Amino acid sequence: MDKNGSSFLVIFMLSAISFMAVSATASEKHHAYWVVFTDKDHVVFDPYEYFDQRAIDRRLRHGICLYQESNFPVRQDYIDSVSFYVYEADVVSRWMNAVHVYSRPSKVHQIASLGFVKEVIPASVRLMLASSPGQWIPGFLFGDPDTTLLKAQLKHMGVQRFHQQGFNGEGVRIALFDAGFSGVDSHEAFQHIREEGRIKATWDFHREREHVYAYSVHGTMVLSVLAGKAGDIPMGAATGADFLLARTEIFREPLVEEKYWLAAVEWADQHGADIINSSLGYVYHRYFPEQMDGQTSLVARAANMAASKGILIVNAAGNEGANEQWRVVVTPSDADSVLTVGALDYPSMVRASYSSVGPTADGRLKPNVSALGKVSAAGRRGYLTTTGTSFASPLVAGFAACLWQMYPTMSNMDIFRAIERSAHLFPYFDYGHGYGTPQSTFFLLDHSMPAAPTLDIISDTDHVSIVLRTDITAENIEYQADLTGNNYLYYHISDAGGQILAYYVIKMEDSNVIRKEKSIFEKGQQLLVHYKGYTTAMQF
Amino acid sequence: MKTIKYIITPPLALSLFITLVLPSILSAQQVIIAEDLRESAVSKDFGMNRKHFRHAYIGVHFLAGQAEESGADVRYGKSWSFEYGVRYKRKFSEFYSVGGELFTRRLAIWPEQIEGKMIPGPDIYDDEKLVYLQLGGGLYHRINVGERGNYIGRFFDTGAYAAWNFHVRHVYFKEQDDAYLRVRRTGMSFPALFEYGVLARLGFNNIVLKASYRLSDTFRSSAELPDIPRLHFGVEVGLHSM
Repeated sequence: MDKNGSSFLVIFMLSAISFMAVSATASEKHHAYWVVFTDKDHVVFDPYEYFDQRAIDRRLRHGICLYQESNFPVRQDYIDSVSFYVYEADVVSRWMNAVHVYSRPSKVHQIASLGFVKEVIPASVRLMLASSPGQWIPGFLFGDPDTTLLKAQLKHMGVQRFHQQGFNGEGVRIALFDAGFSGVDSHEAFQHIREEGRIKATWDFHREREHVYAYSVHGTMVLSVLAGKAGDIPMGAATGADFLLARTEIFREPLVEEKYWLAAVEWADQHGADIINSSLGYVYHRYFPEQMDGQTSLVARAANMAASKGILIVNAAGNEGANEQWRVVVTPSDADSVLTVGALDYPSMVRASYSSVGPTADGRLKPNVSALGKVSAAGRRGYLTTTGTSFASPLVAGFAACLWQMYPTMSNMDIFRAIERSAHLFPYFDYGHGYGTPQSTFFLLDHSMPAAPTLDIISDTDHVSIVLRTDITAENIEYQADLTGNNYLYYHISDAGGQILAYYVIKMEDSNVIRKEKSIFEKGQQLLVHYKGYTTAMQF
Repeated sequence: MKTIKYIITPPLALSLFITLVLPSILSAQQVIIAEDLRESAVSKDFGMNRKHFRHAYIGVHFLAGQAEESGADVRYGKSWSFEYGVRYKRKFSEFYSVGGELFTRRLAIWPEQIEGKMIPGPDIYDDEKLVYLQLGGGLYHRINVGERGNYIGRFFDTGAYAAWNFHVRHVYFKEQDDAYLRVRRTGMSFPALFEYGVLARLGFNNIVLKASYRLSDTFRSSAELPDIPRLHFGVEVGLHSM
């Protein structure tokens, strides 16, 4: 081999060795872990000192103990002992009874062997905001609000009816977790909130300070769709609610940690949040789709714990529906106590192709409900049209706030189930739309009468036919009036265990019959069909 | 009515039915969503950090280093290759994979037009290039670093490649008799038929830094030409989701 060849081989080998060395060194430095402790014995906890009065009120209202051990502080002597082995210990989680540390991997074994350490969990993940994938919003594109879309984003859930009845989320406290709230302190869309002092607390978990009105406009857009006003036109349902704004996500860093989400959920609980809207999720950088079971990720477990403390968690389903290697809902939307919201396309009002689908890895229905994913939102300045499950989520969170104002004694899970029941497809469901879009009319109009039949399923020797009736009553039509004029028929085929095998949405134009060969159905399967407010089934 | 009765004959009625009525019947039901989970399940075998993964990539690589002998200097920066290929990875553990790739490459070599130049000949022109079009393949093994989900992450590849020079052309430019000539030659006897070498890659998910060293000669030994620099440095972009 010539001189250059030798040089290359030397360089090549050095590169390989350097890479290994750098990797090994990187492995040796500052890896993030959660160190979970075994107990909280002998700690002192005063709920009246720790909690905001609103948090105490919520617990008393829902019969939740003020002295849950999960709210007790983590033992400082344990943290001090662990600090001896690690480079840095920063976030402490009472709920997890854990401390987040940066440590050399070689030290992990030593830490894990400490008698009071239950487990050591790697913690680095990457976050995905649940707006359009790759969406970039140039500052010069801001303009006037799209009033047609603004009206649609409220009307499709009948929010204007809530507002007409005086329900706008007043008295309900909503926490938002996002990447930043640039312009919320100056934009006209939030003037009513600022003037009435309804931003009750803010915290930047990365910089550890109160200022959150910078960094990203994503949280600004989300808040506007939740509670903003474009002049006199409401942009979201909860225009009268109180807010807690938490900056939990750091765009510039390729890897951030779930630690801020965990810290923020405890912070929101402490400050009396009734609802948490989280328009973000954690995906493939750390997890596989088969791990979206509501148990694997720390945030899913934390979300379930928040629900057990009376908080309603509303989370975007995620924008991975068109990603063939993912498709399913992101975490923490996989948690069973999280109200997961999918996105509808506009104006078709069926699942947007990007909206993540269910079921969860353990076969549970997700998303729970769906709402418009294309919205008119407030930007840093002016208004813009944007898309993503990020914006479907606050539409439903706002709806929940109105409902909670209407029924203040209902628990968070009562609200959760009531929203599912109010959805326009209920009891029909599928893995793209959940139970459909929540409807205010379910709560505001008398619906004591069962929906009148709109179709029949007829079976003969070889075929199963879905035949639409021509005499559909006005009651069902009115029930549907807020949604669309689309003539959609929904049906799914499920197995004996209730798992959906296939689902369809058909636009019925002139035809009123769908015929299927009977041979495609197996014994034990069920055909569930929904058309204009009426759902019926056939068992095979 | 009477007139119509006579105008619409049976063949015409059939035509009208096919052209006007049938399409409206066929379009009377529009399938908006059809999701069959028995067919659309996410693969647990194929993916960025699954047992199998395959993706396309593009890359640009620049000649670097010294020519072996005088007379084979090239214009750096201008002498570069563009490559398009498909890469396959077979994962054996969280940290170790092997794989292969097939590619097509266009390599442009711009000899320096200076005294003593020897490639591909001693004549000096206003400008001159040799273009090698190649089809090739490679094998590599990969070491991954760091815990991750269904994500490529950081990796280091080492491997070897070989390519067939299926087309080579020599192009030069010169001013002659107030005209600017562009002469294009093919079918020369001096280009080597094959190229092979070793490579190393440092990857950060989609972005890959690559170095390769050509072990074979660019020209046939019978041509008795000095060889151009053997090192290539470049960057590749994996055409897969982040």
